[in-house]
Amino acid sequence: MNMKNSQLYKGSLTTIIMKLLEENGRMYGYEITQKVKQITGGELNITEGALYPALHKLEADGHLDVEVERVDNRMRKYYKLTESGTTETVNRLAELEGFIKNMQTLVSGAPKTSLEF
Amino acid sequence: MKLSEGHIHQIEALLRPAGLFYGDIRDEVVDHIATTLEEDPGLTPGNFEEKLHSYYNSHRWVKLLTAAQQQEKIRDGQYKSYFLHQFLTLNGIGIYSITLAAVYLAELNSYTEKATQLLFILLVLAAWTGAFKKRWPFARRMVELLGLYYAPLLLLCTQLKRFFDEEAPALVAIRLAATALIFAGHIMLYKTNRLYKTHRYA
Repeated sequence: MNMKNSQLYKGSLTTIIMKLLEENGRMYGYEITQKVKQITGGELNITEGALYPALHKLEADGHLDVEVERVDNRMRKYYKLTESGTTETVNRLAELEGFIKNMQTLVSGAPKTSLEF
Repeated sequence: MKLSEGHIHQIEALLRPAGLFYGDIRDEVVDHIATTLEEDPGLTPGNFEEKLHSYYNSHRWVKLLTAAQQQEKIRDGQYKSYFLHQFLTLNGIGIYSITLAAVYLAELNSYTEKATQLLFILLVLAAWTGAFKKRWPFARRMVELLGLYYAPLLLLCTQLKRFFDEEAPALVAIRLAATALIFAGHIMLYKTNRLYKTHRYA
């Protein structure tokens, strides 16, 4: 990740990966980094040092399955979500959406419209 | 430009000194480097080596290798946990009990005692030297990882008799227990190796 915003994105990396896999079926490591770069217009660069540990952790936790294929004279490892991974993606996205909403409220300083104190 | 088989071999050769053990981690690193180079619009058949060495000398190589080595450590830890955990399962306790009984019974007869000692030495040598590399590729690595646990037990088994003219029953018990543990450990090593073989992707 870019140094200037690495701390902000650090906790969201696995959610980003899972969201991409949910949308794209199966992807390999380099493809994930390029997709993120493309979607964010180059704003977010996921480095190898961050990506592969995150992928392997998700795999170890049972959220990702791996398929290996011979492509262009070498073996390529594709990742895809398992059933538990799909469920976990929904949970994490909901959590992230809640986080973004709260942060927006805090940062914008908008008063709460709720009557609860 | 797509890389040829020769180009891939060059990447693998450059990666070999890093000593990555797990094939799937190694393959992933090779694929990442190869894809990065292929995506370079300036890559031509004539400047592949220059581009490869430029990547090799960059921080990206260091980061990729560091990530791969971290993954290897995590994977080693997982296999080590699996190996040690087996001793705590019902199956593991059963295996240990059987080996303990076998070692005890073997000592009742001088021929079976010598045969047990010979088998013990052969197993230890095989594990340490990686003699059965093709069938047990993982054994050597596990022995290196577990050397901390292995070495004192080994010493206990082999050297205890030297210090006493007559072994006290307690010392005999410790020696038999340690010998049985080594034998049971080799069975657990075989099971861990089997897990490793089923997890290899390519």
